[in-house]
Amino acid sequence: MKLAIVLVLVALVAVAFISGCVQEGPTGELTEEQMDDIASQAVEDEMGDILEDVNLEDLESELLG
Amino acid sequence: MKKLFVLTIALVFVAILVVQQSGAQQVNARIWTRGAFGNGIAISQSDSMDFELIRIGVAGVKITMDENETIRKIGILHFGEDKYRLRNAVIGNGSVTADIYYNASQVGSLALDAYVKGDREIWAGTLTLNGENYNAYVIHASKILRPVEKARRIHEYCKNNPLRCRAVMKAVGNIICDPEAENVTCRDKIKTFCESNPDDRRCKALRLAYCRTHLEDSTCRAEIRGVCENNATENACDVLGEVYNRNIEKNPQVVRKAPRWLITVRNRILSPQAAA
Repeated sequence: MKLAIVLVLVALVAVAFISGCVQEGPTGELTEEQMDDIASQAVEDEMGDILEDVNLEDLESELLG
Repeated sequence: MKKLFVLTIALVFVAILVVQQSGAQQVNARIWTRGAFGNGIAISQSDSMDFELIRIGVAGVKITMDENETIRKIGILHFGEDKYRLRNAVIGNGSVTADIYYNASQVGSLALDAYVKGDREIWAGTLTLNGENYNAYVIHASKILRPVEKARRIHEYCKNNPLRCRAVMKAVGNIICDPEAENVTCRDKIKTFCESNPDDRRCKALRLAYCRTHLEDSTCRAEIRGVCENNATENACDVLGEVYNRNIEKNPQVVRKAPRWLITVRNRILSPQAAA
């Protein structure tokens, strides 16, 4: 029982440490993929801000004035 | 003793979490250059009744992490219900090209040019997706910048061009302060002033000066267009006219319904002597 508690606690410490490394990479810098993900999210947010959902009728009325 | 041991381990766990949180670097992403944004339609080149709604966003995003800054040019394409990522994006003066990716695989590419219809920009060009070629048309959705974003541009302009910043202000009135002499303090002062007074003629002139050198940004082109619609003799109109003229030369039929200011500017560009 005691051993189990100790093992669980040690596992928690290891998880906390590893998750920190995975989030930022071992050097604390973002990977190319992570930067692309962040940038894409910013573009997606911007699209959400300025673009409304359209259907073909809306588009037709926009194009034909 | 046992309790003390368990408590020690728990404290180590908490300490690691706290250290990681405090050491976590602040990552900030901001749209820096706006390329093409809008809703549109893609029509198959082989069958005009094979068409699909599209939605596109291409931008240069500035990612700031601590002291480091990097700009990623990237985009998103919605083709019907499917979503793709745009990589290797090139945001030019009135043009956008990019490769289309689904997960890690390239599945196509696109190339769009900006044309003016009425008071808006329309992106038109070609799109290749999964082996099919389409003509694509996108109605650009303009972003209305907040005063803080407008002021940020002025700050950047005055930081990179203190002499010109001073000259631009002097050309339309008194200088807010001397960006060359006061440097950082003055830049911040101008930024604060223009954030509160975006319609001040010096602030407008500084924004125009910034935009003349950032024609790849669609909001800059919109800012200059707004000026040209009222006064086509403004010098910046010629610079913008050159951008649109390059695209018109690829497809001259587009000019048949160009706005009046652009026709005036284009005539001036094409035959400067006649215009004089």
